[in-house]
Amino acid sequence: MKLQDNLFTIVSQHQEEESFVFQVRLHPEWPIYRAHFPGHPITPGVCIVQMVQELLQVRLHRELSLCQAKNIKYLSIVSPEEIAELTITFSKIEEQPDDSLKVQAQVTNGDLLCTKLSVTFK
Amino acid sequence: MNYKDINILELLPQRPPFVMVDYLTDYSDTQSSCCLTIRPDNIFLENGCLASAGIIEHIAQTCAARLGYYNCYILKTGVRLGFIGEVKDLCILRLPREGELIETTITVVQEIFDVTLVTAEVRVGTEVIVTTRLKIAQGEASEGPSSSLSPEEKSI
Repeated sequence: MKLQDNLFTIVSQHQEEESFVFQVRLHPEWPIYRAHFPGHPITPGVCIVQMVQELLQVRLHRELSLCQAKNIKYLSIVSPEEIAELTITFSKIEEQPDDSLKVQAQVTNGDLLCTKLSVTFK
Repeated sequence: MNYKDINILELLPQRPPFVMVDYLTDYSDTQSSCCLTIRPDNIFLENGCLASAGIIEHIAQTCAARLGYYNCYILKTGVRLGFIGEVKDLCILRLPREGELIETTITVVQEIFDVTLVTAEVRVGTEVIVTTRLKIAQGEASEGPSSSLSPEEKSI
């Protein structure tokens, strides 16, 4: 299941001095919200990880798969009824000798920090 | 008690197609296990494998099934919503393939109020394919979907 254009749409993307930033819009009508949870739509935490992975694939034009996570911290619940847009900031994308990628990213809505990730893709 | 006889939807707040465990296979004071067969219609299936997001969700729901069992069968209250608080030291050695049966065992490390900290191991047969630590936070008690299974859910 691809989340791009189902759960979210990319609104914009740009390079900042030390980071790369995506702005995305969430789709509250995504059918999975009716299963997670009935009557209480909440963006599944694992879908935030996959969204980060898909955005990185867009940025780097290559297929990636999560292989390690030092930590993924969920600090605020993302409810599509209250949060329409998310900002995903990649502060570190570091190629390793074995071709894997060490990545640090955070997901925010205005001043609200929703998720912090320190992960490795390959 | 044969845990496999319990309809998993009685224990979980999630509903299909977002259900990533088939049934509870074991439960004790500190450990529990769940299994899942990777079927062709799994929403997290990608290139013939369960994607990493699907595996993490499966581990989280193994915790949810444990908490659901405790709440429904021991405390005799309802299922509560649960959220992943943190994924730590996740190591995915390989992704499970379509048709494979995975079994996950979680061991409770700590329980503080509504937060449960576990270590988890996902296996295909005896091969360990994923290890991680997970922090799960429970929301307030709800009326619980378990009390309102629809006729088609009851027959699953």
